[in-house]
This record gives sequence, structure tokens and C-alpha cells, in this order.
Amino acid sequence: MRSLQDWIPGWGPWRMGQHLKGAIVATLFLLLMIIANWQFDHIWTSLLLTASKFFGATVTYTTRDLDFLVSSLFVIGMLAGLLFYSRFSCRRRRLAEHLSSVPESQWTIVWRQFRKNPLAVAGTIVILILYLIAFLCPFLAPYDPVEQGDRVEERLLPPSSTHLLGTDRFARDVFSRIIYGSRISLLVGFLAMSIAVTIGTIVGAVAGFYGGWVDSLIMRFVDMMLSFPTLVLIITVIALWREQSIWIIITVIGLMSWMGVARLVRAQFIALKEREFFQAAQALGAGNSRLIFRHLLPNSMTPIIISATLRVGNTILLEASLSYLGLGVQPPTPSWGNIVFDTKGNLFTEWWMPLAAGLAIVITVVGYNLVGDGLRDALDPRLREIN
Amino acid sequence: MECPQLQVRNLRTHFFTENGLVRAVDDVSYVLNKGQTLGLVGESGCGKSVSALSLMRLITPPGKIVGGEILLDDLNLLDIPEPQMRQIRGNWISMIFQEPMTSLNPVFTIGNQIMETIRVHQKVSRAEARDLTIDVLSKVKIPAASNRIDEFPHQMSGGMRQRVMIAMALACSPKVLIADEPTTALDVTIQAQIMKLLADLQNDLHMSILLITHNLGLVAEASDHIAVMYASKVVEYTSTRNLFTSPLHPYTQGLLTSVPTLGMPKNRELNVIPGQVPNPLYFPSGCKFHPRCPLAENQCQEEEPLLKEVNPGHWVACHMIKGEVTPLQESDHDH
Repeated sequence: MRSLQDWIPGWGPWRMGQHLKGAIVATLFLLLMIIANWQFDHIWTSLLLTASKFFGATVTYTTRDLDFLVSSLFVIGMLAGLLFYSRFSCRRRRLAEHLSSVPESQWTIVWRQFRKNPLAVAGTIVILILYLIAFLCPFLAPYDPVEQGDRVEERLLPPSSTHLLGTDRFARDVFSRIIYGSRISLLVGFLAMSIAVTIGTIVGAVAGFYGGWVDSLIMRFVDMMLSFPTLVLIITVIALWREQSIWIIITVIGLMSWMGVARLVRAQFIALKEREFFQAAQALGAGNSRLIFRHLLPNSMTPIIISATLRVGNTILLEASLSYLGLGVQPPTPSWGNIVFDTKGNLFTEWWMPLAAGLAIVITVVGYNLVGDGLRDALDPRLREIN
Repeated sequence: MECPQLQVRNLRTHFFTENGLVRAVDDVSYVLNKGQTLGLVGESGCGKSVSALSLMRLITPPGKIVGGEILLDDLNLLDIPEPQMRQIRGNWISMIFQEPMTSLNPVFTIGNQIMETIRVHQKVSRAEARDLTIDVLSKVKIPAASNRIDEFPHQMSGGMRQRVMIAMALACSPKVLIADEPTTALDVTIQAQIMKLLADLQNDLHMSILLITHNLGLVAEASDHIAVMYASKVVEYTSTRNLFTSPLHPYTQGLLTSVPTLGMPKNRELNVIPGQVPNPLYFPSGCKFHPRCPLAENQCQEEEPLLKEVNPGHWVACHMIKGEVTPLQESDHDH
């Protein structure tokens, strides 16, 4: 009986006294269920279509079908994930009650600290909602973002109940375009930052761990990279490619923004190498890879995470500037940057379009920065004393 | 009865710094017998810790071991390749450090860290390693070891963390344990507990301990032999009893008389050794102690004294004390 109750999403955590967690899980589940019901036809068709394509049927499969598939899978996956999550958080909680004292992991402590900062929590919620929108955009957007309406009748319409933010000069629905644009910004932000952090961490780790001439060589290279004006360099590199795709932009942005992380990681490694636990690990016979991956890297995670979060905002801005210059994401694919670019001829008459796209950029970047600041405060034990 | 476990012969570790050559350990010899404790005593910067790190071969550039022999049983640790040395570290020779607060990796549970050490050196499953860890934690007298194994270092007190460090060092039952000022960061009661624990463990596991400290009271209690170091050199080596009853080197004598004793008149001034510890970049010529030595003569300025066996088992490096120059090694073992 009790185990059956556990499967009700959110009920377990709620009953165990974690009301907030329970409420969030339940709301999210309900929301996704509503979407799944409402878009049931779409989900079903996209799954069927993919299945028939997979088994060799000749069907036309467009990128829009792919969009629907990704979103359908996301909805299904999230629903299942939430079910299992509430089930297992129940069990873990119950298990913990049996033990006399539950050891607190550092992340529990950090989370408790993070939660005290309302701005950081607000930022987190904003970012999560944005990701939700990005994953669900085919279901949320009222129109196809690239479909053009009647070029005479429906061009440059002001906001109305049919087109919430009006239409652009190709008679496309701006609201839908902005919803779809979130995918580009978040994708660029996330992937470019992952590339930058990965390269930066590896380079910084090698420099910091081995030191000596390896370090000098690598750091001079980093200095050289830093002395290039980023935007100009990115524009040049992108201009060298014939066709422009989002993946090239992500890669280039990633390749141009790892230097800060490399410096950070190197500094952290050099400092940690002087710490006694590092010597102790050496004295107990740990090899290089163990020293790096178990002792140095985990202890460097704090600054890496903070700088990664804070830099996502920069990356998003960089993509927006590139798109605004016409070098980023190419039309008709919508991105917030090229929506602003599209409207530059009628900036003052149709001001709501650039305003909406610009606001979207601002909200995302501010959200990320708030999360980053919150993380820094929560992860830094020296700041913890003051609060 | 006494047979050597670890012999250090003419060890020299130098640091090639930008300001010049620093002879941090210069021609140092001592012997650590099986199942016994050797106290390595000296003031800050005299090369105690560097000599310990040299034993583990953990000297990093600009430092370098430039000569000597370190014999563990019959194996010269300076001859073997690094991968093999890594197997010896933690397995045959282990080390505990001064600062228990920072000697543990803050991001992993203590159990995790001890298990890691075990699994580096022994082929055991995770579950077996966990059992061994709980074993060794109870050996160092951590109460409720099976619960505390999942705690993080920040949840423990200093004394507890030092116990964990000791547990970690002992996880693979090493032959030699190097304790580099193991109790300096702890308060006196905890200090006594930790020393008692080390002595008990030594009896149980028959290991040899190299105890590095500047605390004379500590070595008097805990060690069988003592090597006194001054300015990168061993100046006197003998049994603890000998050293405290009849110290021969003027530096040792100065050290012992400068320790305040209980019941001493309140306003009597402490004896001090005049002068300062020499800067390792500019060591004085000849005997490095001569500028501060009450017995110094011309010979001391010119010629560096070598260790000589003044009485059986009592080595001193001083020109003013007569004796025969003999290499310090497997001393009084007549069996």
C-alpha cells in the first residue's frame, strides 16, 4: 500500500515533510500531463512517423518532424523521470530515517546555502523555465516559426490576439520565433561553454600539474590567444567557412573562450599542489592520473562551476551579436540575435519585436549571472560566515 | 635483537634555487631499527622534513637528491624506477603529516580516501576494501567506525582527523612509518593520546617509526634512538638514554639546558644558545655550529667535523671530542 503511494508524483516528498520539493514535482508532472494530453496527436504522430522511418518506410521527414520528436521524447522522458524520482527520493528518505545520523554531503550544504539567496533561486527558476520552453517549443509556439503568411495582408502586423507579438516583414509570427529562438541561445550557451570549460580544464590542468617548461609554453600560448580581439577573430574564422551552421558557431565560440578557465584551473592546481592532502596522497603511493582526477580536479570544481555559469551569459551575448551582424545563425532559423537584426529597418515603427527579443536575451543572461553569483556565495565558505 | 630496517647513508638533498645552492640535507646518516622508534630532532629549517620527504622520494624541483643511499632492508630506494617507488609508498613506507586539518581531501568521505589507498596497493573488491577500512579505523580507536566511515573530514575534530590520517598510513601495514611532527597541531591531551596510539600500534604491527619533531619531551618518551640535526647535518646520534644523560655535542647540550624544567626558580633566565640559525644559503665554513659554539677553536672554522663513534653506539660530529671516525651503520648488533 505504502509503496503504491510512493508512485504518486510529489506525494512522497510532501508527506516526508519536504513540501516545496513535493509541490514542484507535482506541479511539473501535472503541467507535462496537460501538455501531453493537449498535444497527444502530435506526440503520437511523431512517434509513429519516426518508427516507420526507422523501419524503412519512405516518408518525408523534415526538421520540423525532428523538432516534434525531440519534444515528444522530452515530455515522455520527463514524466517517467518525475515518477521514478519521487519513488526513489521516498525510499532514500526512509532509508535515512533508519540510520542514526545521515552524513551531509557538501552539495547538501551548498544547496541549503543557495536556497537562502532569493535572487539566485529566482535565477534558477528562470533558467529552468527557459530550458522547459526550449524543449517544448513545438508544443508551445502557436505557429511554425519559419512559415510565411500572406506577404501582403499579414506583413508587419501589430500585436493582437492571433499574433501575440505581431508579425515580421515576411509575415512570420514573432512570438513563435522568439520561443524557437530560446533553443538557439540556450544551445549555444550550454554547448559553447562546455567546449570552453573542457578545453580550459585540460589545458590548465596539464600546465598546473606538470609545471616547468610545459607550463611556460602553454601559458604563453594562452597569453597569445587572449591578446586577440575575440569578436574580430570569431568573425574572421566564421567568414572562412562557406556555409554557416550553428555547430560551427558553437565550436568557434567555444574554441575562443577557454583561456580564462585554463588560467583559473592552472592557478587552482598550483595552489592545491602545496596543500598537505596532495602530499599525503603522493606519500601513500597515488599515481599522476589519480592525483589529477581524484585530488586536484574535484577540489577545483568550485571555481570551474562558478566561472562556467557566469560565462554562459557572455557566450549567449556573443552569439546574439554575431547573429545581429548577420554572421551567426542564418535566417530563416530564428535566433534572438537575428530577430533583432531582421527588424533593424523598422526599429521605431515595430518596436515590440526587437524589444521582445532583447528582453529575452537580457532575462536569460541575467538569470545565468544570478545563478552564478548565488553559486559563488554558496560555495565559498568564507562568505558563509557573514550570512 | 636490534637489526636495521632503514639505513640512511650520506644522504644529500640540495635545492637549486635562483638565489643559489641550498644544501638542505648534507651528508646525513642514521639508522632506524626494526620495531623501534628513531627521533629526528632539530630546529625549524634544519632539514628534518626534507630528509623525510627524501626517504619517500617526494622531492620536487628545484630540489634534488644528489647522493647517498637509502636502504630499506637491502633495497636502495634511490636506485629503483618511479613506478616501483610508487608501489613502495604507502605500502612499505608511509607518512603522516603535521597538519591533520589539511591532510585529508575535503571533497571525499574519509572511508573513500582510505579505501582508495588500499585499492591502490591491494587487489581487493570494494566491499572487502570497506571492511578493511572499518578494521583499520577501529584499530586507531575511532568510535563507531562503521558509521563514521561515511563522514567528511570537515565533520571531524583535529584529533579524529589525525587518527584518520594514521589509519590511512597504516592501511597497508607499512614497515616504516614516517611521522612528521604528528602532534604539533594538536593540543596537549590529544597529543598524549595520539602518541599512546602510535606506541600501541607499533607494538601490534611491529613497524618502525621515524618520529620527526622539535619537541624534546616527546622524543624522550617515545623514541629508542635520537638523531640530532643542526644545519643540514646530523651532529649527534645515540640511544635516547645516552642523549639525555650524557649529551656530548655542544649544540645538544645547549638544547637540553635551554628547556625549562618544572620546579625551576621563577625568575631565573633560561639558558639560550647565542647567535642565530645560519641562513642555509650562506652556511659558515668548517663546523656549521662554530660561530655559536662555546668550545670553538681555529680548527672548527676550517675543517668540517665528521661523525665519530665516541663511545660504543654514540656518534658525535665535533672536533673537540676525541674519538675514531667511523661510518654510522648497523651498530651494536651482536647476534
